[in-house]
Parts: sequence; structure tokens; C-alpha cells
Amino acid sequence: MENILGALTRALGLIISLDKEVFSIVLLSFSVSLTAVFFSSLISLPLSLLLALKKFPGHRFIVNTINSLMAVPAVAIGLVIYLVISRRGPLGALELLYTPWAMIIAQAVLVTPIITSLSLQTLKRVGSMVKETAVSLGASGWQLIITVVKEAKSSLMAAFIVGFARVIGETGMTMMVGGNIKGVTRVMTTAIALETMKGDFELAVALGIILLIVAFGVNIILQTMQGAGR
Amino acid sequence: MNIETKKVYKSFDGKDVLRNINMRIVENRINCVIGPNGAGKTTLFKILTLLDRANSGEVYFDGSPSSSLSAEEKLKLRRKIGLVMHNPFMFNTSVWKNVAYGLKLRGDSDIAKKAEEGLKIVELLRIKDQSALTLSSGEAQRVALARAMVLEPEILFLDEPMVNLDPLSTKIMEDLVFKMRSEYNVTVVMATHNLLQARRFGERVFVLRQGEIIQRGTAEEVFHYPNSSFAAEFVEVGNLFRGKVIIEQGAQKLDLGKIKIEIVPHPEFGETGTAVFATLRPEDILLSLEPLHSSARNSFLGEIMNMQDRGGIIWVTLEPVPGLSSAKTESGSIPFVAVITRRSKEEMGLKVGMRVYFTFKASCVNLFE
Repeated sequence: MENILGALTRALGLIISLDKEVFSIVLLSFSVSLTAVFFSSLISLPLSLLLALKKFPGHRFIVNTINSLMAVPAVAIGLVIYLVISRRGPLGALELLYTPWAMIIAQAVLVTPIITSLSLQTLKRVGSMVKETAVSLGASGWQLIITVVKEAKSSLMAAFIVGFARVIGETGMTMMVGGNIKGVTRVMTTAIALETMKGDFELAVALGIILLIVAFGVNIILQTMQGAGR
Repeated sequence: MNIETKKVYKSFDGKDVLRNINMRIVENRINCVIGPNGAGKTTLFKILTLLDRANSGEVYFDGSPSSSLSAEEKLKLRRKIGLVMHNPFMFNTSVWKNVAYGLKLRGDSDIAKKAEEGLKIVELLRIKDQSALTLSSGEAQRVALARAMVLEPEILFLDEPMVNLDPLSTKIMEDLVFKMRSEYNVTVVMATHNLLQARRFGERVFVLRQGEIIQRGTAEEVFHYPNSSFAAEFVEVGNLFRGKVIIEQGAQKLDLGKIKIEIVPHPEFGETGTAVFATLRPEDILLSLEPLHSSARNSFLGEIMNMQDRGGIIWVTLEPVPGLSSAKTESGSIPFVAVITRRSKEEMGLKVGMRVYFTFKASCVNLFE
């Protein structure tokens, strides 16, 4: 008990004193996960819009594939990305392994099916309501897309936040491709795992608290959005 | 704009929703499509407004088949057509922005003035800054009408526009529909299952049943001379009988079993014994305490079985009394329904069980097979 309380006190000290190491880890975590979500959105938003507003041959197959990909374990994605970017892999020449970019790629791959599927559900629902009204009022194809995105914006934002929360809390996969190198690829989750194994709880608890705050913060934002949106 | 359909079919999951629709919308008039829920009215409207495509058949806009139009031409055409759905969708923004939406899409240079005018017409300018999601269904319907009207469409489709509306909103909507047609020369196509409305509005009426147009014509034709038992029941013709055409003393009559009624000659039912349906509108029946001396050839004594007050108008159900006047004794009940005002009812002292004369002209009896 004393051990836990001591670790908690020292952890709070680290946070309050704006410890350099703690904040560089937090900053890297945020920048890696936000970048991953950003790149993911470049694929998931147009793809979900296309699937929500158009029916075409193979439509069902793509939707089913996306839904199946959501179930792929993160560690399996980590393994595949590792093999692809490792020195002897097809993208080995790019020397991405154990860099923040490796983590970004893995996280983007992990989160893309999740964001696409969530966005698709939202856009389908909103699209079916908006489409007839917008088109009957004279919207062209592009005007319809803009209207649908505008109407669905809070739910879409929620999909991105859920995606962000998923990847910022990811450990195993991030460790595999990032390597948990201090000052380079050490993020909150990998640092917590390492420090705990070392028995050095101070930093682990400090990062754990921040991670919890992030999780709660995300939840609060989501609930506020659900209250304000449709 | 002239819209015409030829042999339009539409099905969903193998189930026919529209079958062999051939119709021509009458320009600068109020066209009413009436039919029960599920008759295919909304699907028909979606096809006529280019929101959906027929499985087969063709819709012609000013003579050009819609299937040969490019996406750009379709957009151009759509922008001349207005559509107000029942339960209209409101964009998650202010009332004013909802009304301005279509104008903005068109890059209109006078958005502010037009949107304001539109809201003024539907009497909702005072709530222009309110969120459109907080509107009552009546208000939303009016905003939707304003949103379509400001675009100055050549033809306006209204799908059940007055369902579930409060009396004030209904009145405003009805006045607007008349105004659109008379002041702005807009062709109106309105789907409704409110028969009173269809009678009042419909300069051209189409009766839709299970995806087929079973009757078309002026409101007068459809409501007074329904051509099928379905149309008759649907337009609440009041009196629908099944009988046989017979010839008595060289003249055609209709034998209803209990009584025989005089009809105008129908050469198409030449053979004696042809089974036909007959309809008679309640307002064509006159009630009197004494026999009437008039040119009307059908007059019977009847007993009042029931009286129902329908908002100031009384629906009186009468059973012809056998053995008197020209009624002949036979089993089976053939109730006649007549309408009178509450005042007449009081003046005549009508009560259930009383006997009165009911009289109608032979020409008011509509026959069909």
C-alpha cells in the first residue's frame, strides 16, 4: 500500500513539475496517434462517403471486408507491418522500422477499418435522410457530398475520436514496430509497460494518470457531441 | 413543364410497387393523386421528380425521355421541379438557412430577400433564427414548402403535405397551394388520402391502387362516377350497391333485391341480368316527411336506422320499408346513406326509428360492372 501511495505521490510530482521526459513521451504519443488518424481519414472519409452514397458492383464485398478487418488483432497487424518494413521486407530500403513513421503506419492500418466502418454507419443514416431533400432542392453531386458531410460532422468527429482513443492506448503493436526507443519511439503505453516491468512505478503511474485523463476526456467530448448532434 | 409517363413499372425486391403507369400531368392545374397508404404514391413521386428510376417504361419531360438525359440535363430539370415530402427533413441549422439552401446551391444573387419573402408567405419569419430541428411538424412542413417555393419551380410535388397538421397550418398550406396555382401559375401535383382535399383541390384526380391507376378524371367524375368498387369505397361514395340490370315496361331499371330503382339508359348493360355496381352520393338524396312531387323518379319510404353527426353534417342511414311505395318485400338489408345539416334535422324532428321519404334522381345513380 505504502509502495502504491509513494509511487502515486511521486507520479503527481512528475506531472505537476512538468517533467521533461514525461511530456516528451506524451507529446510523441499524441503526435504519432493524431498523424495516424489524419492519414487514416484521408482514406476512410472518401471511402465511407462512396460506400454510403453509391451502390456499385462489389459494394457488399468491400463493406464486409472492412467489417472483417476491424476484427484483426493489433498484434497481427504489427507483425505484417514489421515484415513489410523490416530490412529484408519489400519496403526495407526505406528504413522505417523503429521510427515514429513505423508506428504511424501501423496505427493508421489498425484504425482505418474502424473509422471507415463507424463513418459509413453515420453517413448511411444521414445520407439516406439528406440525399432526397438535397437532390430535390437541386444539389449537384459535389453539393450533395458537402451537405452530407456537414450534416454528419459531429458523428464523423466522434468516429475520429473513437479511432484516436483506440490507437493512443495501443501497446503491443506499437512496441513491435517502434521498438520503444527512449526519446525516439517511446510513447505512453510502451513506456508504462517497460517501467512496470522494471519495477519503476513512478513514471508508469504518471503516464497512466495522463492516459486515463485522455480516455476520460475523449469520453466526455463524445458524450457532449452526442448531446449536441443528431 | 409537361410531364408524361408511359408504361412505368417499378418493383422493390421482386414486389411490384408501380404497374403500367400512364399519366399526363395537366399543366397549370392542381393534380391530385389519391390512394390508400402503400398504394405507391411516394414511389411515383420519386420517379416523377427524378429521384428514382423506373424499372421499365419512360417518363417524358417536355417530350424528352428522361432515360436519355445526361447528368447535367437532369440537374437542370430537377432545378425546375419542387418537392415537399411529408415529414420533411430539416437541415441541422436555422430555419432561415434551411430556406436559403436551394438558393445557395444555385448561386442566387438575391438569397436574403427571397428567403425572407418565402418565410413571410408561410408566416414563419418570426422564427427565422430558430433551429429547424426544434420545429413542430406543422412548422417544419411550412418551412419545407417555403424552401421549395423560393426556388420558383415550374411544377411542385407535394407528398401528403397536410398529414398530421394542426388546423392553422393546414389552412395556411391549403391557401398556399391555391395561391401557387392561381397567382404563380405553378403546376401542382399533390398526393393525398384526404378525400375532401382532393375534391376541393383536384382539377385532375388520379386514383392509385396497389401501384395501378384505376381511375382518372376531374374531381367531379371520380367522386360522382367511380368506376370500380374500390374507387367507390375509397372516395367514400356513401352508397354502394350490387344489383342486376333488368328491363321493365321497356325501360332499364336496377334491381337491388329489396327495391328496384330507375336509372338512365345504359346501352352498355343491354342484357337483362347483367350484374353491376351502383353508387349514389349521400348529398344527392333528399329527405322529406311527405312524398315529394318532383321530376326525380326514385322515391321510397325508409326507416331511419342510425344518425351520425360528422361535424355539423348528419349522416342518416335509412332502410327502405318494404311493401310501401315501390319497395318490394325481400330479405336482405340495403341501407341508404343521406346527409342533412343539423338544422334540417332539428326542423324535421328526425329521430332513429322514424319513417321518412328519400328521393333521388335516376341520373345520380352511377353504374359500373
